Amino acid sequence: MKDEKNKDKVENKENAIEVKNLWKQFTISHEKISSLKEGVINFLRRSRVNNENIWALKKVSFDVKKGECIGIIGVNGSGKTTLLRVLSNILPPTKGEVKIKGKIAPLLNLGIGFEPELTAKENLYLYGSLMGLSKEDLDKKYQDIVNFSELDGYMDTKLKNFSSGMELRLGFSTAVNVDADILLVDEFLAVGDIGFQKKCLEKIEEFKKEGKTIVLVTHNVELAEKICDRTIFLDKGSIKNIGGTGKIVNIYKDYALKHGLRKTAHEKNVINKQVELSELHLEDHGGINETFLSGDRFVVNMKFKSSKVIKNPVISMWVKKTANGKLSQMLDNKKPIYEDGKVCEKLTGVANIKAIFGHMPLKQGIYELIVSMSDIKNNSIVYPNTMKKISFRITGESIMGKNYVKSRTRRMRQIPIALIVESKKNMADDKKTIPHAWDEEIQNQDQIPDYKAKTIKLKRMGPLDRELWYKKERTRNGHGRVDILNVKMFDENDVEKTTFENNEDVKIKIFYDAKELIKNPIFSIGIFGQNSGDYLELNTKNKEVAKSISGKGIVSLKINSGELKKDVFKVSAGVFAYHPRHPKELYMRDYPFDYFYRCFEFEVV
Amino acid sequence: MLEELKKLWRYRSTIWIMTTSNLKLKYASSYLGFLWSILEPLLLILVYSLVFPLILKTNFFEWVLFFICGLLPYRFLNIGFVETTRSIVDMRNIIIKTNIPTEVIPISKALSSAITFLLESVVFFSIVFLSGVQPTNFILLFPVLFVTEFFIILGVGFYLSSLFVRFRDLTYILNIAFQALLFLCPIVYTLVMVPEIYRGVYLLNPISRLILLYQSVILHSASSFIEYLPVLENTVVLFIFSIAVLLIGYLQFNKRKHNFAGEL
Repeated sequence: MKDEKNKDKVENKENAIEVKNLWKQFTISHEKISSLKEGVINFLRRSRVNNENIWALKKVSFDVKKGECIGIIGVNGSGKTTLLRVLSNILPPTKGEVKIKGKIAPLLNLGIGFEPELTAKENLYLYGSLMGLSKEDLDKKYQDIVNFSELDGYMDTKLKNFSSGMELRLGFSTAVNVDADILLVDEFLAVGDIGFQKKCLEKIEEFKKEGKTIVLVTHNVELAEKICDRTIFLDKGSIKNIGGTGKIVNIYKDYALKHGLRKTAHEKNVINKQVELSELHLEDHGGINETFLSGDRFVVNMKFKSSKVIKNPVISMWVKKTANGKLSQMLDNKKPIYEDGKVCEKLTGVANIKAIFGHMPLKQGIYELIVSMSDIKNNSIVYPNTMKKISFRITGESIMGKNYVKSRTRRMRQIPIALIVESKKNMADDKKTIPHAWDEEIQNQDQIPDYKAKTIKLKRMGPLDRELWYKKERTRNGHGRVDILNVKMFDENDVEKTTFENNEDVKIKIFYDAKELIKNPIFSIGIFGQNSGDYLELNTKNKEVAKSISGKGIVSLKINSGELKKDVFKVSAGVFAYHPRHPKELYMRDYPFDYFYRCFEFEVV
Repeated sequence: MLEELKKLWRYRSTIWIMTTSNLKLKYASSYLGFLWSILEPLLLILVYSLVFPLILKTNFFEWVLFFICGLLPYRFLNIGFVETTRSIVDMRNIIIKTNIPTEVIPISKALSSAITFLLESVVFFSIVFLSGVQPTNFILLFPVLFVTEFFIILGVGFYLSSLFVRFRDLTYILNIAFQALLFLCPIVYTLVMVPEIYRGVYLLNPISRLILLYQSVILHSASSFIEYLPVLENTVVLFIFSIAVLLIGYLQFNKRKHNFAGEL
């Protein structure tokens, strides 16, 4: 009886949404005009070079009855979200017509416009008003929303102190209180824990009972089967099929299987468990360690085992400060791994993966690092056995620390990271990468000419400075896309020495290994006189050493005789990236590939 | 257009909540909070008043009062223009993910700078009046001038914010323009100091006129130039001008606003 009534309701009702022959085109300009100069130049040329038109939606037509729940499924990039945005009146259609009867509420994202500096209450009002609620509505519904979110007592706390879960709850509770006849929901059900998802589902059921029209974009076919009356299967911007959910989901599953996109949940689980993270440890420049200095190189060493081929592996990392446990900071989410300078597309067997952080930007404290591997093409599935954590401690600052430690841990995301697979050959010949052993090998390679040290800057530091400099310990940082293998001192006749006469030229050679093609590298050497406090610096900044380097090689820099007085000298050596935005300054601080600070020594007598 | 305005009216509480949020955000993270909006112009006045009365060899006290009357509307204009221009790009998330009318965003930014201006005005102009300047009937024109300036900001802000989506170097140009404007308008010097032959050209600048009007409405002592500038007529003309600016800006904005979500 009730069912019949419902059926009647749906069939006799008028259309809530009518889409007729909808086309949507995007223009992707490869060189986005964002400055006036370029705009003027383009205008003068009267041409739009490099523009590409893409049809995101092609000939889409469908109706949605009032009170109906319709699902939209399709693989990534099939135009689901674009369709939702056109329906929401955010994007205008290029061709065709969209008719909407009733008030719409697009729920494309939770917590749009949330401001961390405002309190939860203020954010609730802000977000609610952006969702189209008036102040009076919000005043009326305020208590309901707070109760629903279970955040009573936190409403006067600034949002920045909320955990991401609390933020999500606040966003969701506000969003579901919108006053609309048609809800356009993008897949926010995918976020949050199971309890939260359950709550979302219940709320959607409630909406259905209230007779609201729902358009739901989802990847999750089980979800679509559960709540959608009808489903649209979008493929490359056009409707491939439309009809009852059960039928469409089957078609979609077939399609996905054929294209290798989707396996049943059970199959997936068995296979996914075969990928395992067997070892996880942390290293600084000296080797395995648990305590670190901020500013130093920080290496995460991972050993993965897998009996199947992992396609497109990506690694996610989070850092959590254990003291308050609250701050969970995404370090680097889903970053591809590089193997021999190329993105690694397949992993199998045992793989050692190194994540090298050029410098550690966190302050003193105890932290926890969480690592996991996932497969970006396969619906971003996290392999369950790869999720592991390890704690570490930061005890102080290294000499470079001051430059790196940022007040906000959020900056952690911005530091340069290299994620590389150490190939098996390398692992076996591990000893070889230690300096000295491969000198002969390197001599055969094309040598880069000597750079005469014409532009030596001689700085004499005061005694106070000197003391400060010498107190600092030797250290190393840099993210290792280029490694310095060794630094050695030679005389004019290319004889290796550590003791030089006063009237001899000193040639300092940097042995490097570039793991990928690096453009305009800058090599730099600093020399500190132990007793005199002399500080010399020379680099190849303005003299191109080489347009680009890759593989192993040597750069030598010469100090003319007479420049150095009798002393014991400590040598720092580094390779830096040329940064076009700061051609003259700061290149050292921001972009070291590798930097040894005061690690080598020679003497002039 | 009427329909657009109706829709906008429905979202009036959104505008208001965004405006207050803007204000809260601006001051929430600093210790002195709202005091800054008083302190900032106060310090500016201090710095300028150490230099200009000496250069111009005028009475220190009179100059400061005169400067206040020019500086406040200038700041309103400056902050309003910059904030509204940036607004669409700054709030890109809201534009691509919600269906509120796009106009809400520049309007709320302009409104929050207007409220800042009003609060500043209350404080500083009461200082002016407490210091012995007698308010005249002309003070009744102050709200008209305020609305005029608000319309100009909103109109130009509409236009510039839609341009800024594509041309991001607009803010640099704006900054330089405002540096120049400080000296192109009678803010640190009086109109009388402008050579007579240039005065006609000088007064073509509507901003100059606006600032002159503020000065003559508040300090009737500065009415020495009223002969060049009859206050009432000018206010009316300027008000009509501002409505025209607002209309043109709004129409331009409306023409482009549908492309924002795609271009951002």
